[in-house]
Amino acid sequence: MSDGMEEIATRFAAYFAAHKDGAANVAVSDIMRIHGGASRQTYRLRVSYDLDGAPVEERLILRRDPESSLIETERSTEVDALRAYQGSDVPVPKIHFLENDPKWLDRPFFVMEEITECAAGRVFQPLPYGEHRQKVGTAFWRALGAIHKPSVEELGLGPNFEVPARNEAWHVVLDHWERVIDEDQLVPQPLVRAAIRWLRRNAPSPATRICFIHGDYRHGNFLVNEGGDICAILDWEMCHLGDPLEDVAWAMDSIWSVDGDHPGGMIPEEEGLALWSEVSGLEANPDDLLWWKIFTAVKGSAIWMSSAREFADGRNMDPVIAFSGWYPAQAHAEALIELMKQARMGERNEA
Amino acid sequence: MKPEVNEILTGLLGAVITDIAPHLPEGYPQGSMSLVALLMMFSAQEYDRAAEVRFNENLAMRGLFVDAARDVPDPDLQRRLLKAGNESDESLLISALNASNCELKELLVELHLATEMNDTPWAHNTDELIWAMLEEFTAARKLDLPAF
Repeated sequence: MSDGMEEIATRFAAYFAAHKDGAANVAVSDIMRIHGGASRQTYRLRVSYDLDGAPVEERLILRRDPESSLIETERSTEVDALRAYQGSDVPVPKIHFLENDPKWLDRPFFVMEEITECAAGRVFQPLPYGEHRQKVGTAFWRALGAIHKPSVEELGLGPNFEVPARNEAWHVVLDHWERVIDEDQLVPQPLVRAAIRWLRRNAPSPATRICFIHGDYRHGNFLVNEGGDICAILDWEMCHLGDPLEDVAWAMDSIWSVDGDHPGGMIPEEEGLALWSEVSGLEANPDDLLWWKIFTAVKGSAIWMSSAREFADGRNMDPVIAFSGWYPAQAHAEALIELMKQARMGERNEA
Repeated sequence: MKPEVNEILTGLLGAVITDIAPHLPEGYPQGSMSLVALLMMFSAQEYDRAAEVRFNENLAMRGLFVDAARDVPDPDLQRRLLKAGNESDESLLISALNASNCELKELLVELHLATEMNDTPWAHNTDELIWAMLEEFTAARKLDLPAF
């Protein structure tokens, strides 16, 4: 174990002993840093302790805020999301701790169970789910429908979540990501700016219903076992309330897979949409879906610009940050060109 | 110098993937080294074309500005378009080309906005030219991902 890992292990053991009722002789082992998204530092670890005289061992995932964060969201928002879907048809890891006091590990963190014997599909790999693509794809789209099915009231979310008006949901998120671009762009962005202006001139229909939005629901952000079962949906850090088509379009985004017609290398887009609609009880108007697909490319572009800014400013030199600022940015530019062709063709046909 | 930078990067890429990465601890260290390898590959692709991509973008934008300036309704924008359009890149350093590129793209954003605010043949034609240009610019910067 490296010095850095040993220090985290020691300090987390102290935290666990102080917060786990009845735990004695706490020891942390097998701690290693893993990739878990670009916005937080993620560690896998094993904690052993005695509870009422009996030995217990748990495998946990610790997610700590980095010194600078790609996505500036409260970790409590992510934890609230995970708690809201506990015991539902949406598989999520169990949350053990949420700690905002930096005295324990220098920065806020939360801890959840490790989902074992499962893995995330590899992005950019052809046929990431192999023979299970149909099974995984079906579960993927049905789970998204299950995320969108409950009303905001049923989820019992706390004050972290603002509820936009149905006709303002698009405006809220577009304003947000345009602000991110204004703050973080390193160079002028004529393509993305033109897309933003188009989005504003051509507002989508009001949201059918305000739903819980995962914010980053896609291939690569859920765990699958060898039998093709989805074990857990991860990376809820961009969650908020809004138009469910935001999630649908993001899930369909072509950049996450080399097979553009099968989002995430799973099942065809139309089939996925039908499954989502069946479970959620919602429908997707084609014109609105195109709007949200263009928005998806703008949102993605904004995220990659933030990544590039972090790396260029020297605030985060993780290779994933450098990669994020380059390859997916280019991929979203290419996607945006094609989507805007469709949009502008539609305008010409209407004129 | 020989070998060229892109040849060095591509050559070292093999060493990173086959000789270095497999000996690192699994998880974050191996994953990070894989990303470093990809970034080396992209850098090798970019090395050869970087100057040409930027020089051509700048040339295309300047040409557009000179043509568009004739009928742009805003006199201040017209003046700035003509000024920028009649300049040229004296240095082929990437940093110098990037600086010009940024200035020209800021102006491109303004010009594009001006076309959207006018319902004239000039505006429609210039809008089409800009979209075609943005498509060319995007295609020229495409990155090739290796087959996994």
